[in-house]
Amino acid sequence: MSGNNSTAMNTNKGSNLQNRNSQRSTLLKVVILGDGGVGKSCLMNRFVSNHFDEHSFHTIGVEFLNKDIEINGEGYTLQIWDTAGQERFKTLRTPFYRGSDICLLTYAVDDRTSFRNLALWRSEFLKYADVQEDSSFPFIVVGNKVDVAESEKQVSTEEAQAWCLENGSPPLVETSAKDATNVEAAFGAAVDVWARLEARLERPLIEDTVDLSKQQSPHRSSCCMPVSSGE
Amino acid sequence: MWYALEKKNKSKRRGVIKLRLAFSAEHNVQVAAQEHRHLLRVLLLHEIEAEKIEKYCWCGRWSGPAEALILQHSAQRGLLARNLALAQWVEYARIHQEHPLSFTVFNKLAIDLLRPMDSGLFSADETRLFWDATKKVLYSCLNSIRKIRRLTLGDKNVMMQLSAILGILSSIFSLKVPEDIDLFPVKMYSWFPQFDENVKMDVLQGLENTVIQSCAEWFDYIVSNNSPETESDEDALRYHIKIIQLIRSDLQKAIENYDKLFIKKINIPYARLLYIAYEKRISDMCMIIIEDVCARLKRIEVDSTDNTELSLGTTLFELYLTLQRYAILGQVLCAEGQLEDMKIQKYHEWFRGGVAHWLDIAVYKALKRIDRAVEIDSLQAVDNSVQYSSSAVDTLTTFYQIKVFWTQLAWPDVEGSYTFIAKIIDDICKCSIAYADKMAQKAELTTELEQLSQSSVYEKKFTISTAWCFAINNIDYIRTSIAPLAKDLGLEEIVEALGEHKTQEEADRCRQTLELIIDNATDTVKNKIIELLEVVANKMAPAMNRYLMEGAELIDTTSNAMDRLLQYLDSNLTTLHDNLNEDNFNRVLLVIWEIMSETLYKLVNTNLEKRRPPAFYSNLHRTLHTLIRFFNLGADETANVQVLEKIEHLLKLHGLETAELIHRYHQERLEEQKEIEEPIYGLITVKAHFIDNLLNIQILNARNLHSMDNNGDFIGKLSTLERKLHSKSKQRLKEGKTSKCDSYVKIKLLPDEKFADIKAPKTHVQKETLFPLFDETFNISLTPEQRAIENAIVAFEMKDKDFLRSKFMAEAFLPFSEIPDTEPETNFPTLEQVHLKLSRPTKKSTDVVRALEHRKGDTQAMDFIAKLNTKANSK
Repeated sequence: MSGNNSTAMNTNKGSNLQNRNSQRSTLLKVVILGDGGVGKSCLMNRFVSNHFDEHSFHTIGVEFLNKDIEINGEGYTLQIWDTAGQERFKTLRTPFYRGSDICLLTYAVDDRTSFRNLALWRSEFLKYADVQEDSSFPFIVVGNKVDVAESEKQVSTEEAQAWCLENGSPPLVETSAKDATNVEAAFGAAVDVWARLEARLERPLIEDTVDLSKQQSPHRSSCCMPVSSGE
Repeated sequence: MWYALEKKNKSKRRGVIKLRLAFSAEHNVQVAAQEHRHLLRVLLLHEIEAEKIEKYCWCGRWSGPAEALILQHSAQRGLLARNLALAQWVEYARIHQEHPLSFTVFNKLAIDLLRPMDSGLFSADETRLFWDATKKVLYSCLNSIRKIRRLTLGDKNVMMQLSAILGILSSIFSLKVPEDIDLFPVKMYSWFPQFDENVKMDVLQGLENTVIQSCAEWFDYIVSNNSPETESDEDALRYHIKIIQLIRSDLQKAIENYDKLFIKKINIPYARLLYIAYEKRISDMCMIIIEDVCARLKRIEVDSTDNTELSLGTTLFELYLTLQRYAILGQVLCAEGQLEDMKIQKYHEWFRGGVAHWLDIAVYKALKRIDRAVEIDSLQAVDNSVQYSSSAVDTLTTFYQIKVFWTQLAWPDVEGSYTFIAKIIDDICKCSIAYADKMAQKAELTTELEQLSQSSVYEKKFTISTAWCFAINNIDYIRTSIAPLAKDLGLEEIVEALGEHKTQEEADRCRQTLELIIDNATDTVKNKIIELLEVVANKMAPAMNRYLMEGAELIDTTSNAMDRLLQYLDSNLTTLHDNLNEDNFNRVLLVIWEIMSETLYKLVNTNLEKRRPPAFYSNLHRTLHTLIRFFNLGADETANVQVLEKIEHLLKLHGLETAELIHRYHQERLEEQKEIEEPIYGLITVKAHFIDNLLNIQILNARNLHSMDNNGDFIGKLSTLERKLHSKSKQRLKEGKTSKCDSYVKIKLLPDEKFADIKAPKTHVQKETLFPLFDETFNISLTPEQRAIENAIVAFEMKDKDFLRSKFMAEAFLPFSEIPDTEPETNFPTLEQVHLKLSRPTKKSTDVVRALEHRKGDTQAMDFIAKLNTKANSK
C-alpha cells in the first residue's frame, strides 16, 4: 500500500461525524409570517433555544436559525426564516419566500387585526413563494400569546378553526412562546403536514383514489391541539 | 461795439446803438445732457450702420471723427464724467434693445456709475433715467443667461460677455432700488415662475429665477426632443435614462464652465441651482414609472428562455445607477441641509420592489454561467499548484460578479443592506449546490466514458477517476470561498452601521443571523460533498463485496483475493489521495471505511443464514483486521464507525469453534453474575484454593433459595422480567414458611471439553430447606495444563432433588483467576468465605446464543442450546 495514504490517514477525522448525521436528515425551509408584534421571533427563539425575551426588538428584515428535530422517527433540519411583520419591510422579506417548504401563519389571540390579516399574509406568501398549487402547500396557523388573560382574548379557538376550514384546512395550533405552550407542537405539526403532503406527492398514481380520505384526515386531526391554559 | 441802426430801403442811418456781445455755452446741464444723448444716439446708429458692426460686438470704441465730436460736445457743454456715463448708459441701453452691444461696455459704465448713484449725486430725473435704462440692461442680461445654453462653450468672447453680464448684475445688485421702481415688471418677465407681486424681487432673486426658468425650458426642450422608441416599459426606462443623462451633461457643462464664474462674480451657486431645479423634475418624472414598473415585475424563471423580464430588469438597474450617480452629484453640489428635502436622495426607495428582482437576475445569470463553466471544464487542474479545475474558478468569478452588482447597488439603507446580504449569501449557497449537482453529473459522465473503453468483461469494477476528485475539490473550493466572499460583501461594515443606526444589541443579533446563514451555507455544501463522496464510495462497494466474499470462501489463506482487495483499495485511494485535498481525502476515507464496514456487516448477516463454517467468519475477521491496519484507524476513528464494533464482535463469534463459543457463553454468564444487584435466587457460600495443581473447594451453605415447587407453573409462562418481579413478591410471601426444597450442589469445571476426565462432584441433598447447610469439601486434582487454562471457570449448579429426577434451580460461577494459590499447609478455616450470587439463564438471545443457534448441523452446539433451553424453562 502506498505510504502516502497512511500519513494522510493519521489526521483526525472525528469532526466529520456530526455533519454526516445531520446530512441524513431532511432539510426543510420554514418561513414564519404574521403581523408585527404577534411574537414570531419569540416563537422561533423559544423553539430553537428555549429562551424567551420579554423585551425583544422588532426584527430587522429577517432572522435565521436552524434546528434539528425528529418527527415520527425521521430526522429533519429546519432552516427557520423569521420575517419582519411591519409593512415597511415588505420588500425585504418577500424575496425569502421562494423555495420554502413550510409556512407558519401567525397571529396573536389578543390582537384581532393580526387574525384578520392572516388571509393577506397567506396571499402575500403564495404570490412571492412560487408555489405551483396553493391547495397543496403546507401552511400551519399559529395563534400565539394564549397566556393572556381570558378577558383580553379577541380571537376564539372556534373562530380560528372556522377560518382554517375555509382556507384549505391548515392545522391550527394555539401557542404561547412566553410559557412555552405548544411551541414544539406547532413546529412538529408543521413538519407533519409537510411529510403528509410530500407522501401524497410522491405517490401521484394512487392519489386520485385516496384523495377524499386524505383530504379528510388532516381536517380531523388538524383541529386545535388542547390548550392547557385555556381555563 | 457800436452798430448803426438802419431801416429797410432807407440808406440813412437812423442811429447808432452800442451793443455789448459775448459768446458763451449754455449751461443748462439738462439740456446739454439731452443733447449729448442725442448726439451719442445719432453717432452710434451711424457707426453701426457704416461700420457694419455685429451684434454684441460694439464695445465702446468710436471712429476718430465721432470720438472728436463727442469729446468736443462734452467739453463745450462742460459735462461731468458722471453725466457722460449716465448718458452713455441710457443711450446704449436704448440701442442695445435694437442692436445688442457688448456687455463689457455696460459693465464698465455700471462700475463708473456706482459711486455717483451711491452718493446720490444725480437729480431725481437723472435717477429715473438711470433706472429705466437699467431695467432694459437687466432684462437683456437675464435673457442672455436664460439662453446660456445657446452659447458656444469655451469661447473666450462668450466668457468675457458672461463675466460682464455677471459684473453688471453684481453692480446693480449693490445699488439700492428706489421704492417706486419695479425692476421686474410682470409684463417683461412673463417667463418667470409665478411670483408674489407684493414682494419685491432683488437682482439676485431675479437671477435665480432666471436660472431656474432656464432649467425648466431646457428640461422641456430635452423632453420634447426625445421620445421612447416604443410603448414598452423597457423603452420608457431607456428614455428616462437618456433624459437624465442629458440633464447630467448639462450640469457637467455648468460645473465645468460657469459655476466658478457665477460664484466669483455674484456669489450664486449656479450648478447647485441647476441641480436643485432638475432634481425636482427628475424625481417627479421617475418616481411614478419606477414604482409602477417595479410593482409589475414578473418573476425570473430559471428554465425560461424568455429574456424580456431579464433585460427589463437590467435596464431598470441602469436607471437605478443613473439616478444613483445623480443623487451622489447632489451630495457634492449641495449643502448639508438641502439634501434632506430632495426626493432624489431617497431614489432607492422607488426601487425597493426591484431589488429582489435584481437578486433573482443575479442568481439566474450565475446559474447560467455555472452551467457553461461546467460544460467547458475539462477537469484538469488550472495549474500545478492547485487541485481544482476551471469551472471552480469560473464559478467563483460568477459569485464575484454578484458582489460587483452589490457594490454597484450600494444600497443606502442599512436595514435593507443587511437583509439583502442575507439573501445573497443564501442565494450563493443555492448556486453552490446547483454547481455541486452539475459537477457530479459531469464527473459521472466523464468517468463512465473513460471506463467504458477500459473495462473488460472479465472484471468489471469501478475505478475512481480523477474526474470525481476534481469535481469534489471544485465544490470544496467553492465551499471554502463562501465565508470570505460574504466578508467581501461588506458584512462587517453593515453590522457596524446597524450598530450606529439602531442599537448594538440589534446589530449583534443581525451579525449572529448572518453568521448562521454563512455557516448554514458552508455546511449545506459540505454535506453535499459528503453525499457525493458517498456516491463514489458506494460505487466501490460491489467490487469490495466481491473480493471479501472470495476471500472468505476460500479456507486456504494463501488465496490472493485479499491481496486483490487491498490492491483495489490502494489504487483507488492513491487516486483519491493524489487528487483530493487533504480534508476531502480524510472525508472520503471515512466514507469508504463506513461503506466497507456496512458491506462487511451485510456480508456477515446474509451468510449467517447460509450456515457458513466458522472458518468463513474467521477469514473475514482476519480480513477486517488487515483492513483496520490498512486504513490505519486510531481509536477515535474506530469509535466513529459504530457498525465496526458490531461486525468485529460478530465475526469473532462466528469465527470461533463451537466449544469456544460455549465457553464464551459461560464467560458472559459470569459477567452477568457480577452485575446482579439483588440475588433473587439466593446466595451460595464457598471457599476455594489451589495447592499446586490441586483444587480444593468447600461448599458451606446456601441461603434464600428460591423454591421451584408448585406455584411456579404459571410464572414460567410469563416473560423474564415479569417473572423476576413476580418472584420477588412471591418470595416475600414464602418467607418464614418451610418449603419442600431438597437441594444439592453440583460442581462443574468449564470449558467442559478441557476437563472431560474429571467427574463432576456433588454434595448431599439437604431436605426441605431454603437455607441448606452443606459443609462439604472436594479435592479435585488437575493436570498442569488444566490448571494453566486461564479463563477456566468453576460452575456451581444448585439442583432440586425431586421425586423422579433433579431440577435445575440456579447457578453461580467462580473463575480460576479469583481462586488463590496457597501454601500446602493452608486449610479452609484460614480462607475467606466467598458469597456467590445465584442466577438463572434467561431466554434473552445474545449474539453468542444466536451464533450457536445458527450452527444447526453441529451436534455440540445443538445439544448445548437444548440444555440451555431446559435450564431456562425449568421450574
